[in-house]
Amino acid sequence: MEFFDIKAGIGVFSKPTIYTEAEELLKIMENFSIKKSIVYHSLSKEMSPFEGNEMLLRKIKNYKNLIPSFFLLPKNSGDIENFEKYIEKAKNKGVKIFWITYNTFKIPLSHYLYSGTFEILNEFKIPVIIDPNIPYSGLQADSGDWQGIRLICEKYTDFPVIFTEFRTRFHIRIVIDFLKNYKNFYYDIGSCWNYKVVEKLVEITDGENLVIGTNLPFSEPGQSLGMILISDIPENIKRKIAYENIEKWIT
Amino acid sequence: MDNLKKKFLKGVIDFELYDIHAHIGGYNRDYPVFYNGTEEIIKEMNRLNIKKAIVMPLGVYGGEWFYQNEKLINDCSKYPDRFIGFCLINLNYPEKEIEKEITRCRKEGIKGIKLIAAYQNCQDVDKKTEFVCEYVNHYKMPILNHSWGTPEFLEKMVKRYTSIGYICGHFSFIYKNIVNNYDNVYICTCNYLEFGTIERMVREIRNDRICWGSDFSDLHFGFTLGPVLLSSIPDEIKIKILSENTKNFIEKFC
Repeated sequence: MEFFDIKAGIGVFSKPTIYTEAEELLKIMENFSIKKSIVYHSLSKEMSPFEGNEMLLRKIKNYKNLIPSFFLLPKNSGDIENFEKYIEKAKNKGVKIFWITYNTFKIPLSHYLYSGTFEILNEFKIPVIIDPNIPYSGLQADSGDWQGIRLICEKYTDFPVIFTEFRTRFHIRIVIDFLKNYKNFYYDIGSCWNYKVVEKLVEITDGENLVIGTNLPFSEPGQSLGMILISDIPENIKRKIAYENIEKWIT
Repeated sequence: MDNLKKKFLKGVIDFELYDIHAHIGGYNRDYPVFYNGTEEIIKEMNRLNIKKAIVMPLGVYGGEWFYQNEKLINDCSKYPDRFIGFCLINLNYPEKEIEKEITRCRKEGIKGIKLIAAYQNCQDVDKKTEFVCEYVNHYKMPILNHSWGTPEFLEKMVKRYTSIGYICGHFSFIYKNIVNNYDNVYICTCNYLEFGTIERMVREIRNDRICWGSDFSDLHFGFTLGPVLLSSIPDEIKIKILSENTKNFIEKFC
């Protein structure tokens, strides 16, 4: 089984990690049968999205199996001059996916919506990963702003809104409802560790709209990959979750 | 690449597993328990080649703990070759009630005790936990504790109540010296694990005391099997962790 990981970081994080460089990540990927990874830069995640984004491109430019992803702040935040041009340039530079980590920057998710941020993303049809967790603020669970995500899923139906978090436990009851009701809502199954959750979500979605993230360099990748490998689901559905569902939006 | 890892990447586990930490009972406040019937769980154990599991009630907050233990007794009686029952203790109740419930469960074939103070708004390091240790020491019953609190407290119990088989229910390096220094202390692998934890675990903790715990039907089997089977430790140590160590614990203490 080969994997397409939607959540891997490189760079020097606030706390020491097992690796920092793209080359080291590639070795780990090989060890865990991860063929491709969507990669972000530590600086983007923790402090400065726009500087970190550029640093990421420099670090991974020689590696086609590392797919660049950019972190974003909302339109008109004062950080950059022209948000629309920034997105267009990013797309031209090969960026395939954007991150919205609203809690890190203490901005309500609804503000991303009402400031017109998603209007522009919708224009370019670039998938978005929403991650509510704040780096180093404990082992966070059940942090999604579901009202905000609901508004986005209802208004912008043509591109995927991928939700990931450190852990979904209580909120799996909400995730199930979203997967049933919104065709553009995608869920990182690595976020939920509950018993037989993969089997249940496959029953609901036929394996569509589910993707997998390892949370490297922090988490033990075997945790999320193991859930796919031994789930009681058909092999073709495993391949969809492990690889194909995200691949079709990236290539 | 080692053999077990290669097979696991194809979704195959072809040796018998022994699970030191699991739950049955069907419900939990925090989430819906999918495919929660006991028969369905047995089918899943068969699919994954799990020979035996130490099982406890899933509703660990402690409401209706007598009822939950009764369900456990019934399931363990129905599947004596597959389940080894550890009854749930609600530490909010008076010592006499706890004593009575342990005695009742013991007479009904329950082999050990499950403690989980934090989920019951109790303290891990507490006289009530010590009371349970003192009482079950007399019957040589093992205890799986969600958390023993401090290593100092665990060591105090281990020194004082020597007939108990102690299980640290969730993995933490803070207990490593106790596990390494005493013959009757075992540690479960189950927990959220940071990158490289299994390799470090095997370097720092005696390999005959590390036991795989799935924490079903709370956690997905893959979440706890993946880190062990995809790790870079030798196959023979994987087999110890996933099978032999718990098998030995059951033979010795249950």
